[in-house]
Amino acid sequence: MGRTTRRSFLTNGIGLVAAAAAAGVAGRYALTDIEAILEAIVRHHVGDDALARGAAAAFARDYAPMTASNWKLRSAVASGLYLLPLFRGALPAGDLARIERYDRRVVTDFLLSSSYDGRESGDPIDYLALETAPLCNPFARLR
Amino acid sequence: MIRGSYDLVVVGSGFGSLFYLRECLGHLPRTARVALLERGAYLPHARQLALRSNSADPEDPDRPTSADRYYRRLEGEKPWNFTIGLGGGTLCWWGQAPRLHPSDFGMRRLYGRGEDWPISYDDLEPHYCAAEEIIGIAGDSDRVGPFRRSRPYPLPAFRGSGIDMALRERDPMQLALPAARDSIGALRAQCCAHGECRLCPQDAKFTALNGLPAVLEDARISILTGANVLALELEAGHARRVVFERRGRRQTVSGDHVVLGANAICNPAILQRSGLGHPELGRGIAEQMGANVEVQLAAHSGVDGGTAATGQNIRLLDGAHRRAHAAAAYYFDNRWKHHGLRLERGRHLNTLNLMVIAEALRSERNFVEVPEDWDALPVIHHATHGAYAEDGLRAALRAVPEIFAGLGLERVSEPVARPSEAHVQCTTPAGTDPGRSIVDGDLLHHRVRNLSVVGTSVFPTAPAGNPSLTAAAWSLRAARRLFGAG
Repeated sequence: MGRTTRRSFLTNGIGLVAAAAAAGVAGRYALTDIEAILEAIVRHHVGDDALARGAAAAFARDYAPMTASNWKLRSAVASGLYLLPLFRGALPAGDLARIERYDRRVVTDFLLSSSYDGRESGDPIDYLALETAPLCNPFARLR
Repeated sequence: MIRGSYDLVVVGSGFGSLFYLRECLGHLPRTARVALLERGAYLPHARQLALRSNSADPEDPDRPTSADRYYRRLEGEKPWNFTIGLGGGTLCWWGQAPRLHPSDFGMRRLYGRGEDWPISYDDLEPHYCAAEEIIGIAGDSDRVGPFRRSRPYPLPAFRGSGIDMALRERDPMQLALPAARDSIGALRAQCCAHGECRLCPQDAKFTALNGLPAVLEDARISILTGANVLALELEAGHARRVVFERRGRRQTVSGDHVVLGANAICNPAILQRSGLGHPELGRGIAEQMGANVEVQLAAHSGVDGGTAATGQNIRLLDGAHRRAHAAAAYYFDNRWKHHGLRLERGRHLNTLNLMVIAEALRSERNFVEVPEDWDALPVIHHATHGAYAEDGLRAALRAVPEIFAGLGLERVSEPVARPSEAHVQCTTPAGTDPGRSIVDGDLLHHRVRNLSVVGTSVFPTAPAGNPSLTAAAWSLRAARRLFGAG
């Protein structure tokens, strides 16, 4: 049986409840919590089976400082229950839409920073480096 | 230095002005003198990139400026976008370069709505070709739909996105969207599909600075930037002098022929201050009404095309529905800027930002107010696009699922309004009746025959298609005819 670390607790979704509650009480967010949530978002949507080992965590480490003050992230954290299907169904539609927009931004930024485009079929998606150029399109086929 | 008398005085340096000027230069003698007055600054491409802006304050070229410093609007009304700078709209445009639909020129005759244009598609066709050649348009010469043409496009079309190409195989109404971006690197750097065309990082998009250097550097031309043209002085029914202000000093320059191509807000203001008031002057300010929707598909990517926007669907661009409501164009954006990539595994790229653009007609409720005080900014009154445009946009949005029928449509998002199309039009309309229009089909002022008014302000209606190519082509035609060559 594997050891349950704080990070695995969070990234498995269960700990998001606690993280959200703690964040709401404290009114501010520790970087490690934000990293864990970013990692969880990537793993949840892209899928562990598609990801190279450690890719989501490495992305989250680089990405968290850029988003630490982002109000959208705070709202996502505050509603962090959403990764759990049971709670997701109870969220108001407006919150779900806001969360989806934030998740899409994170997943988009991860995919743009990864080997998603150009890898051989079946290869795991690895994190390369944070892509900061606005609207660079690695998916474009010029010919 | 602008001094003395000129054969030609050109006001403004956007599509209308520079294409008119380019044609004139081919007819004028080598000894001719031309003055070009531009209100904005000269900002080379690299400087635009550094400032993240197409325009800068002419008094302080390190300070970016924006359109809203040049007009006022009423509380709650829509913004208007344009560029003040040497090159005008050629700097900030995205390079979407469709021709107008042949029926756009005959709205009153065909559908009993709006006004007829004083020229037809066929009148303009050879000049469309010429403008496309000068600009370097990439398009599909083999499949042109209703946009009949006498010459092939100078550059091959860009590859469409997955969904665009799938539609082209099954829908005759799906066409490549002509673009003023270089698809093969023949004329400028090759487009890299970066998607930030307002400030193209590659300089692959046509601008006056990279595409018309021979015009701007012609030895016959004196260019004065930072020159805010206020009015024309008339004598015996002719425009004799152009009054402008530069660095706080009011000056004049005289010319045999004046070409007014400021923009659709400034053109009527200048004419009004010149004592050329007319019931239709400044009335009917219009631009298209647009919205974005995200379309999600099971099996096709909407972001893997070869440039920023690759396709157009023209199923509602013309037809009997125009008797009741506006025509609309669908443009296939190749970007995810508005909504991001998808979350679902295996379908991250299966998203399309669809731009839905409805035509607009002139309404007397919308107008440019020109204050008596020449130093005061024009005030734009634009309460609404009008029921014709609104109903057309709604109908086009309702019809979105029909476009993708059979292609695994999964979801169409709620529409998000586009605040401005950056296509200010219709304030000095062209027409055959001097009582209802400001200029004729040759863009000559009905009363002041040595005055040409150019650019999108002369459009009698605001069709769904992007207007810049048409403004350029119409200027080429008008200038040729000025010299008896058209």
